[in-house]
Amino acid sequence: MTELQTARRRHTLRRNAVALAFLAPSLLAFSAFLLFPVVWVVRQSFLAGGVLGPARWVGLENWTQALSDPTLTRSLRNTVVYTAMVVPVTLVLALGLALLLRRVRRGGVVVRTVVYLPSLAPVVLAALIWVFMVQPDFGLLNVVNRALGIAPLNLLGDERLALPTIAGLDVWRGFGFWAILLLAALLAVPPELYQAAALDGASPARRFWHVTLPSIRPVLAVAALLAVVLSMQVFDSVYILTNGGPSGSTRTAVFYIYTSVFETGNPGYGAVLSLILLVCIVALTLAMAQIARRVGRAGA
Amino acid sequence: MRRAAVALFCLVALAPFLYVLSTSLKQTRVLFDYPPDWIPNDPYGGNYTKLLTDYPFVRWVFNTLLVAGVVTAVKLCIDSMAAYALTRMRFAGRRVVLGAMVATIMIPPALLIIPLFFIVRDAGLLDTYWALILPALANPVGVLILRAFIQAVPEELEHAARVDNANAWQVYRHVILPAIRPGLVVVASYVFLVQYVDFVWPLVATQSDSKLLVSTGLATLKPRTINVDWGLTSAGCVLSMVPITVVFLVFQRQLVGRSLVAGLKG
Amino acid sequence: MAGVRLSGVTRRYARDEPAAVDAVSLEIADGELFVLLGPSGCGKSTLLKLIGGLEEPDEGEIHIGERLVNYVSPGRRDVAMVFQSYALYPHMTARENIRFPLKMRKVARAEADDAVERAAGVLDLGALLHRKVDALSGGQRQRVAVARAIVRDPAVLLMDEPLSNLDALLRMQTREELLRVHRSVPGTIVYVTHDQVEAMTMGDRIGVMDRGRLVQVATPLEVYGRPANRFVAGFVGTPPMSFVDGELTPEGGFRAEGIDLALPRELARAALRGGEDREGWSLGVRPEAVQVTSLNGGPPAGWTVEAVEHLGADSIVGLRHGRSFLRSRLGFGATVTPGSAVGVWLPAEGIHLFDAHGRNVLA
Repeated sequence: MTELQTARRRHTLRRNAVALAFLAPSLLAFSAFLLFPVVWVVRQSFLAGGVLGPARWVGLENWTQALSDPTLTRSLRNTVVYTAMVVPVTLVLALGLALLLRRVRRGGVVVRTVVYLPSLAPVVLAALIWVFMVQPDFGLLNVVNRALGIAPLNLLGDERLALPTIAGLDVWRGFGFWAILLLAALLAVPPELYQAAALDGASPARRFWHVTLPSIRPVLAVAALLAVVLSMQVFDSVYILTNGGPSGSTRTAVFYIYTSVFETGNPGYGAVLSLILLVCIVALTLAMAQIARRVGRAGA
Repeated sequence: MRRAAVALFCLVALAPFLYVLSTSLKQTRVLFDYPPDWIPNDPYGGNYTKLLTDYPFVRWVFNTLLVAGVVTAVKLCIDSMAAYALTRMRFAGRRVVLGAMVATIMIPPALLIIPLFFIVRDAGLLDTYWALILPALANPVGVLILRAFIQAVPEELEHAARVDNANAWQVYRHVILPAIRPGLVVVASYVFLVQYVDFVWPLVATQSDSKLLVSTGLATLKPRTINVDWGLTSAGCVLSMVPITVVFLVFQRQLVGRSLVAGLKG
Repeated sequence: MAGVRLSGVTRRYARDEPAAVDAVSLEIADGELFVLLGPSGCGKSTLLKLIGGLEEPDEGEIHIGERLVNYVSPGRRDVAMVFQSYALYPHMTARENIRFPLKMRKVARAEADDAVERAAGVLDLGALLHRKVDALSGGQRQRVAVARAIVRDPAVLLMDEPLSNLDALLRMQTREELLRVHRSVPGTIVYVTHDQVEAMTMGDRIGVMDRGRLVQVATPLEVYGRPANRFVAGFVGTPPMSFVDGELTPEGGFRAEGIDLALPRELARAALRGGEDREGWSLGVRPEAVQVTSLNGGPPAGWTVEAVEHLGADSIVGLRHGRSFLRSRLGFGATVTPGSAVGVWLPAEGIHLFDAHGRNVLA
């Protein structure tokens, strides 16, 4: 080999070694605690048992059981319904607040901080606060009801109202956070666009529809996507507020996964459920991306 | 008109907190009074003392700060190093690693709880601080955020350092790190927040009381069978908000707004 | 102190795209101020980075002095670089910036301080050393960048368009200062620029690049007076050379719209020797060589004055005949009126001839 070729080889080796040294710790953690678990889940979905004794191979048994499991269908339905309640309401409120905050100058920082507080609270904390709020005897909600002359409600004990109540928690937690995000997007719209529209004689409503919305569409789309993905994974609030009841009306997908592993003791089944949930989320995400693209093309 | 609407939003956001605050200063029997006193005539500190003496609240905070602190510090180091390698070094398999990191963001954390549990159990690390710290180091979001910041550092700066005979580590230390300080703040705040708030994993990975965090500890205040001590619970909520509010106020400008939108668009 | 030798150096970014640097071979003498000149995208900066070690060649060899440095890291090549954006470390003071290369080489404290003082002295930076980078003006930053480059006495100094971010007056002053530095600090300098005035005034020799290829390497006067091809001829010189497309006559003349002349013997011989097609040739003349005459008979006539630009000291006249266009430089006092018809006379020594491929027939 020529002097040049040996030099080249040594150089490339060295370059790779340096890069590896920088990458190694993060890559190690990533592989061990993220990649490997994913592979593990797929493998586990074909096994049964394993919590107390050794696991045994059961082939597709877990899968067939899952696909005909009414509880799974119910929990997926609960989750989707929940998401459908939370995301649109949160984003609409957030957008409204963001539009209002756009012109606020004095005390803007205070308002932004106050409004952001609910998102800061750990979900557990917020859930506890919320339990307190809807408490039949002295919860704030029922205090207001009493003041208005309505009978106090036991929201969390009511099969039909429990899920919307948890949804309410998420809306309360989320609207401030998304509002701040959307506010940043609104502030990034170049004012010339509005000025041009005003000169063209567009009313405020039309300016909103034709200038504001299209300009923030990318951010709005990502926000919606993120909100949906997060909503589909709701767990903490269910655990604290209702523990899946009453009568399984608030049993969401992740909650079902949790109980099937840690209460029923069948991790293989839990693995299958997780994968099914993953597929649902990905499908939903793709569907939303498609819709966003189509709306974008129609509007643009 | 507009101001009234904004005030309404603020009220809605704040009211539950304030109500909880006022409740934390009341004794349980007073709670059932209607109409309720917003500002109690006779502030009762007993809930707080009970919280701090009968429950290891201080321990919860200590554990949480310890775990969150260690995770944040370690992650800042390893994520910035990995981001530098992925952004500015050419090496075999770079695209594969990057692709894997981007792809795994989509994976719901719920999916990982089960395998992580078994991995940690089989490693004999269940119910230890390691169980709380190690899995948290895997999240690729930090690497990807820092990558965006490193891309914004002008390449010529690195070239200058290399011509000045700085090796990779020296470039990293003297050029890259100082230049991405805002990015490090963003990632630190984000990681700390996520750790503070984490609930499911600590719930699953620890059993003993000595390892309770703020999140898992608070959950014990609402036992499923006995009646809830509302005064106590409210006090717990109020105190738990303090550390995180402090962190937020300190890093407020970085967390809220511009950096997030820029990250989303890019 | 060392020379630089490049043999067949090629740098390609994508397999199906044209190479950024295409088979460049070049020898730069020790102590020379060599200018790489060309339009943006021609590959001159890439070539500089290859010499500096910031990029690796796909083919070819790079020598600095006697060493083969293809895979030697930039820090070990004994080169220093001044970047277009100066690339000063933003969070350090001027002194710390200048000191940095010495710090990286673990030079002793006292020795390093001396070197910094010397470099700062050459560039008159004494009073500014303590300031942070963002407290310095553009011109000051540029000087700090140069100081940082010379502080360790490199064998080769690489400069990538160092003056392009300065305003016109500052540019001229800094140009003179750089030449002064070159004279006082002996060393080879490779200087990249797209500004041909800079190239002409500063370079001992110029290397003109076009689309990755080194087209001509010669002294400034040669590049100006005997450009290797149409590209070089049109790039160097302001206002640029005019070209007229036409054909050769069998008798050794050149014919185009508005031009019908006999070529000087040297040109005619070289042109006809190739035995190529007689069409597709072009004639090049610099504005100072184009003489405007009155219409009464004589050499090629019937040109219309299209535009006149008064520059003060002289005027540039645009002359048109059909599709042919010539620029002429009129001296002090001479005037023509736009729209008038004039004659054009081209002296023999001002004529350049380019073949169908754009090559200078005399190259």
